[in-house]
Amino acid sequence: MHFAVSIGYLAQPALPGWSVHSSFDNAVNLCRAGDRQMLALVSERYPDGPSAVRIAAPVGWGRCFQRGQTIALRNGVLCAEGVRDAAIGMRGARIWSRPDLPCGRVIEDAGCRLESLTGLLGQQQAWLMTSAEAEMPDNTDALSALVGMGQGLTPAGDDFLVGYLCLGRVFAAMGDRPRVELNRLAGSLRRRLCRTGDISEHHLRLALDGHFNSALCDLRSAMFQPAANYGSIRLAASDLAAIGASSGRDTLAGVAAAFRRFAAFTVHAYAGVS
Amino acid sequence: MTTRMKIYRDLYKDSVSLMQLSAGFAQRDGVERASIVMATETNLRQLEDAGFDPVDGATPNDLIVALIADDTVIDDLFEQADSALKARPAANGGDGPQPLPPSSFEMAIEGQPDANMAVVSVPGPFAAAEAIKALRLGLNVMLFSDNVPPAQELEVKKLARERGLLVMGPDCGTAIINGVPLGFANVVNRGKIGIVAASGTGLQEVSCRISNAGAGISQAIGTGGHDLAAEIGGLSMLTGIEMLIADPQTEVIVLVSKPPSAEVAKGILGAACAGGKPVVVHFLGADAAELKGHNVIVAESLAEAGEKAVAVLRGDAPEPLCLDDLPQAAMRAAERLVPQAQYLRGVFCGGTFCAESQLFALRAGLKVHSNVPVRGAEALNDIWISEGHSIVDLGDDDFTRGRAHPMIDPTLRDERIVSDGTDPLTGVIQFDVVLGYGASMEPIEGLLEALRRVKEARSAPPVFVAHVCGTDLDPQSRHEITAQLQAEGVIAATSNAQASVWASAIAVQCQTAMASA
Repeated sequence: MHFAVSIGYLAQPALPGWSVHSSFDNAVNLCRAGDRQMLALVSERYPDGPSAVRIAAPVGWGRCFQRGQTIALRNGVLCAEGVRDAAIGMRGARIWSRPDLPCGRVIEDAGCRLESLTGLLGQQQAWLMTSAEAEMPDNTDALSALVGMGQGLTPAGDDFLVGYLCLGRVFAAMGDRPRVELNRLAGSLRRRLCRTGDISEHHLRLALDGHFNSALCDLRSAMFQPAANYGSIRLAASDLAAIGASSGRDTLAGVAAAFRRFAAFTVHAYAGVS
Repeated sequence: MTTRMKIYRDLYKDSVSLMQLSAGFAQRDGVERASIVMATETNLRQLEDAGFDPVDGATPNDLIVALIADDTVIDDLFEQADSALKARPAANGGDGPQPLPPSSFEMAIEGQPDANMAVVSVPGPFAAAEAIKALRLGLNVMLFSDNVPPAQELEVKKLARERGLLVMGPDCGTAIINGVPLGFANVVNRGKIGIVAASGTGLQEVSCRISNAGAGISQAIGTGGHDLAAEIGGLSMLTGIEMLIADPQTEVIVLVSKPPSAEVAKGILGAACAGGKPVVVHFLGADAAELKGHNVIVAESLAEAGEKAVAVLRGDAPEPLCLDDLPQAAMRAAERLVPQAQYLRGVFCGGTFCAESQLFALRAGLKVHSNVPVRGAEALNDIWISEGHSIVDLGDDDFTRGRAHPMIDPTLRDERIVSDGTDPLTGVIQFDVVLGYGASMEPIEGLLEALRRVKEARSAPPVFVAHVCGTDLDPQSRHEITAQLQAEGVIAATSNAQASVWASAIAVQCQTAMASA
C-alpha cells in the first residue's frame, strides 16, 4: 500500500463516484461523471495542487490503475476496485492550504526580477510570450486563441494561460486597468474551455477561479517579495520549469508575460520593464 | 510525399512520451513534418494550415498523429506510432522514436532510479537553485559551477547537512567516487585511503602519490576551495569526513586545504579525530605547530600527505618526505647561466601547485610575486608580465575568462613559457603537467616546441624543472611524457614539492652567483 503525504484543499476523495480517467507512470487522474470534477493522484515529488493528492510511492506506481476503474475511499484507504496494489492510505496526510495572494506593490527592480525568469525559457516559450504582447492594448483575442494550442497532454497554450492568470490576479487587485483586462480575458476563456481536453480544461477552470499549484504560488510570492531576492526567484522559477516535459516552462512563460505586461502599465515606478 | 493522419480516441499519453515520438519521427529520413498533438480545435486548424485534410468527429480528448512523409516510410511510421502509443513506452533502443534527453533531474531519475548523485554545471547565478532541486530529490551534488555567491553556497550546504547529503563545490572540479573519476581526476588504484580536499590539483597530487606508491583510494571528495572559509564553516568537509568515518572501506583519512580559520580548523579536526581512524592533514601554509595540538598526523607538502597516509596504512611510522639533492645535470645547467639570469619563473596549470611552489620559494628566502599570492608573497603589477621571481596560476579566472582552462588547452602555458624563457633575467622555469580525465590528451605537444624555441633564443637557456602529476594508468602515459620532457633537457621531479625545492635552490644559487660576480 502507498500513502498520501498531502491533500489539496479542494480535493474531495471521500465523494462517491470516482473512476480512473487516465493513468501515467507517476500520476493518475480521477473523474466523476456527474459533476465533471477531477482529482489528481501524483507522486510526492510533484508540487501540491488544489485538487491533488501527493503520494509517497516508487516510480511507476500509476501503472496499477486502469482507465475506467472505480475508486472509493473506505476506512481511510483509497482503493481501486479489485486491485490490491492500488491502495492508498489517506490517514495522516496533511492538508495543503491555499496560500495567500501576495500584496501587489511598487517594485523598482521589476526588470531584474523578470530576468530571473526568462533565462529558463526556450524558443517555444518566447513565441508564446510574443502572442501575449500582440494587439496592444487589448490582448484578449490573442490570448484566447491559445486555448488548446500546441504540444503536450496539456497543450502549451493552456499551460501558458494558467501562469498568466496566476500573476495577473495580483495586478488585478492593484488597479482598474489590469482588473478590466483580466475580467475580459477570463470571460473569453470560460467560453472556450470546451476547446481543450478534460485535464487541461480542469486546470484552466481552477486557474480562472484563482486556484494554482504550490510551485506557481511560491514563484508568485517570490516575485512580489518587498526586498529583492533573485536567488529565491530563480529557485522558485526553476522548480516550476522542471514540471513535465515543457508544461512547467510554458507556465513560467505565462508568468513572465503577465509580469511584463501588467508591470508596464500598472505603476509608473516600475522601472526597467520594456 | 504522402499526407496522412490517424486519430486515437480518448487516449492520454504524458507529454514526455508525446514529445519523444514527435522528435523521433522528425529526425527520420523521409519525414517532412510530424505532429503528435491533442486534437483540440486550435491544433486541428493549425494542421489544416499545414496542408492536412480537415478532420471530422475528433474531440479535444483524442490524440492525433499527423505525418507528411515519403511513401516508402509512412506505413512504417504509423506502425511504430501504433505500438508506441498503445503499449507502455519501451526502453531506449532500436530504430523507433528515441527518447528525449532528460531536461530535468526528475526525468533523469525516472531513467535511472538508482542514481544518487547529480553533477551541476550551469552558470553560477543558477547553480544554487539546481543544487537545491537535486538535494530535495535526495541526490548528493557535485557543483562544478563557479561564481556562486557565498550566501547561496551556505544555503545549499545547510540544506545538504539537514538531509545528510554531500555537496562537493561550488567550483569543485575533481572527485573520485566509488572508483569513478569526476571532472579532472586521475586513474588511481582503489584502496583504503579516503581524501577530503578543498583543492582540485591538491587532491590529484595526493591521490596519484598514493596510487604510485602502490596503495589506493577509497573515496576522494572535493569540497570546493571556499568551503573552509569562516562564513561557510567547512560544512562539506565535515560531511565528507563523516562519510569516510562511516565508510568501512576507508582506513586512513587525508585532509587537504588552504589554512582555515582557527575555529573552523578546530571543528574540522575535532570531527576527523572523533572517528578513531588515523588522520593525515595538510593545510597549505599553515603553521605545523598549531596543528600538533590535535591528534592528527601533520604533513608539510601534498606529496608528504600521500606518503604519510601510505605509511600509516601499512603500519609504518610516518616519516617526512625524503627530498633528493639537486641533480648534477641541473647544477651544471645553472652554472652555465649568465649572471643576470637569476629569477625563478613558475608557470602552473594547477592552482594548488602554484600555491605550494610559492610557499617553498618563500621558505628559501626568495621574494615572490604572483597573480594569486599566498601570505608573504606580493601581487604582480600586471599578471601578463613576470617581474622578479614570479609564480603564476594560469588556471585562475583572470586568465581563463573566455577560454578553456590550461589543463584542457595548454596553449596559454606554452606561450608563457616562451615569454618567460626568452627573458634574459630568467634563470629557472618551473612548470606542471597535469594528466588524467578532463585534461588535454596531448598535454606536451605544444610544450616541446615552446622549449625548443626558448633554447634557440638563448645561448645559455634557463633550467627547466617540471613535475608530471598523474599515474601510469591515466589515458595519457605519465611514463612516456616524463621521458619526452627529459629528452628535451627538462629536470623531472617526482612531486611538486620536489620540483619546487629544486627550482628555488637554483634561483638561490643564481642570486648568490650574481651577488659575487
